[in-house]
Amino acid sequence: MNDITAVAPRQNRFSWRALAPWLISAAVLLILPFVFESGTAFTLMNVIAVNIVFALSYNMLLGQGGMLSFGHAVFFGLGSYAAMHAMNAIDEAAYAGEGFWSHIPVVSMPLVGMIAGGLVALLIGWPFCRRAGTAFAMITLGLGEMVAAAGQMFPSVFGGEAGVYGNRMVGPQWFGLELAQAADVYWFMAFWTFLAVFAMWAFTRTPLGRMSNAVRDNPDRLQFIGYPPRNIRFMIFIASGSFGGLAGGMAAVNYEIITPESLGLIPSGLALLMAAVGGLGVFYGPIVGAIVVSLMNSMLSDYTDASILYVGLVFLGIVMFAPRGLGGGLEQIRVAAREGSLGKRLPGWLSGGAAVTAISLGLMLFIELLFQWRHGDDEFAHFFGIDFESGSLTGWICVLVLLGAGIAVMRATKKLREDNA
Amino acid sequence: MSALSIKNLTKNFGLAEVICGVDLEVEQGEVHAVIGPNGAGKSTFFNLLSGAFPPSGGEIRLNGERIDGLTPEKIQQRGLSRSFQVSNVFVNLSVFENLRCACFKTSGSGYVFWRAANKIKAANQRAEEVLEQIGLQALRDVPAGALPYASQRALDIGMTIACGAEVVLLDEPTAGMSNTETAQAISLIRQVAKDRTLMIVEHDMGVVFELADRISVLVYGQIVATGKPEDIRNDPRVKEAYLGEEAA
Repeated sequence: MNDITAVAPRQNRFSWRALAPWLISAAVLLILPFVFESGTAFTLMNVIAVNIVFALSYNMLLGQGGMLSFGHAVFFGLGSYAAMHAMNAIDEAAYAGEGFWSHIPVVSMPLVGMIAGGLVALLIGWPFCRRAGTAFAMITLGLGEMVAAAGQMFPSVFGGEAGVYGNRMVGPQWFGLELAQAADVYWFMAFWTFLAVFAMWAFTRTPLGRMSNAVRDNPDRLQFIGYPPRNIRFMIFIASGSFGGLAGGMAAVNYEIITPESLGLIPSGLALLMAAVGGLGVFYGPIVGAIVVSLMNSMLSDYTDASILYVGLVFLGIVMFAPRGLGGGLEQIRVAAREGSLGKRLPGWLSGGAAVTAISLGLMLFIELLFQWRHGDDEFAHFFGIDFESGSLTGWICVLVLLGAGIAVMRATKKLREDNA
Repeated sequence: MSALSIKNLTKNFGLAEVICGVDLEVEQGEVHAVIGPNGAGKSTFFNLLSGAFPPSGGEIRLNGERIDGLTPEKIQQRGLSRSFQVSNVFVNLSVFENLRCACFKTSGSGYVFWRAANKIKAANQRAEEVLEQIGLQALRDVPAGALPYASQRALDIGMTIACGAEVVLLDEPTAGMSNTETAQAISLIRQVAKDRTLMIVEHDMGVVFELADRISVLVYGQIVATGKPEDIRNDPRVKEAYLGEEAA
């Protein structure tokens, strides 16, 4: 008995090390608005905040519970609709000066979204959770398309193609947040994102969180330690739907509009994309993925006509060559640093990085040249400040040189790693 | 009352009858081995007892209560737990986490999402106890999938006993192990058997004769003999059906 109590506190003890990531992220959230002061930066940060919660809630299903869903936007969208209708109810009640909703601040809308998302999951989830794998993927795909179609059929609820509008500057204000400017909305976003991320992290530490990893790894064995896999899956499904709805509530306040399209396959795919790019196996992976994908989605189009193609290529590249995602990579570096093997492994990683950079640059130049050749409005393909012409050979030779160099460095890296190992 | 009482148990897959009318009483606290040639139906027999398949006919009683046709988790809740022929663990979870998950049922906390797993005292203590019992303290935080084979089997047994089952079925616990590993496994099984009823399927006759209080011989889905090890060793039917076959 004594050695048990001697071992157990090791994990219960308060430690600064465990607290550090939270303090740092809180600090970053506090500092960000003073670093980026432009309106567009705030708009972008608010989108990222919504996507972080959305991607993490998706990863509760896929990364932690092993359930590949193509219908996660249903919870996001319905949460968003619920929040939007609640916001409109606040508007009316505040105008009339009475009624339940006149006391509810817009700041609490994510909670409305969360309740809606959780309820929807609770109502429809049970039949879905009998199996994981392909069956679950297909059912959720069907669900997503069905709900998106239903959205068009009930215009009184979903607003038809135009969607439902709202106004966030209504009702009681909390913390002096008027929510007029994107900068105001930022504090709202920072608060809810921090809270939701912490709650989802805490969830992974609970028995149910651990059981969700267990059902992912080996549902058959789970039965023999006394739990039906379906019950565990169902509970994960509800939790994930709730947080998806919470992200939807954040989105309702941010965009002040929601359309039936947000229930469909494309936003569901976005959740998968962000989670996979960031890495399914690390808790903070989807956060990284949400940041990277949101940035790419909104900024790349300023620089190239082929922005969507690049997002697809990044996704492909990560799924094929780094299946643990960006978060998995960061985690590898962190573990190496902790074990003190960073110095030994760094050269390999750096040269691997150089190879990937060269190959990516080659591919990018290739794509840009192709674009300019086939339907360029511009005379030149712009490439990091250098102008190439598809008519001349220079650009194409550069592509070959970059790709060749990349492959050569890749080979050298491989050899270096073998020698080290 | 027998720990397990099996009457006229049958199982067919389509037309093939794999278990054809098994009657067996397993006494409280004994180590009961089931032996038999390949394809005799030993694994199917275990799958029926643990609820992996529903039986086609007959009845199974655990401490007098009918358990045939129940789902595995219901049977587990009534105090019968099993290990697997192929290691069957949660590969991405640490050794400790595997054991702790197996302990949640006893404290009824597997669905808890409002408290940290570390704060569920009963499960943590029990998991630490079992960890010590199976001798894997040094590998506590290693993912189960990265364990050496023998340790994985030990973990499998640990998970089976962690939930406090009174009746434990072990399916070929020493298969594929070296001599040293087998010796370690035997001493672990001895410990496990101390305050439990144990049923094991095993191919290694040395292990069987060393561990078992009684042995049943299963041939073509029927029990041809049940008795003390020395009786089984000398039983002519057994020699013909099983030991003779192995010698040849």
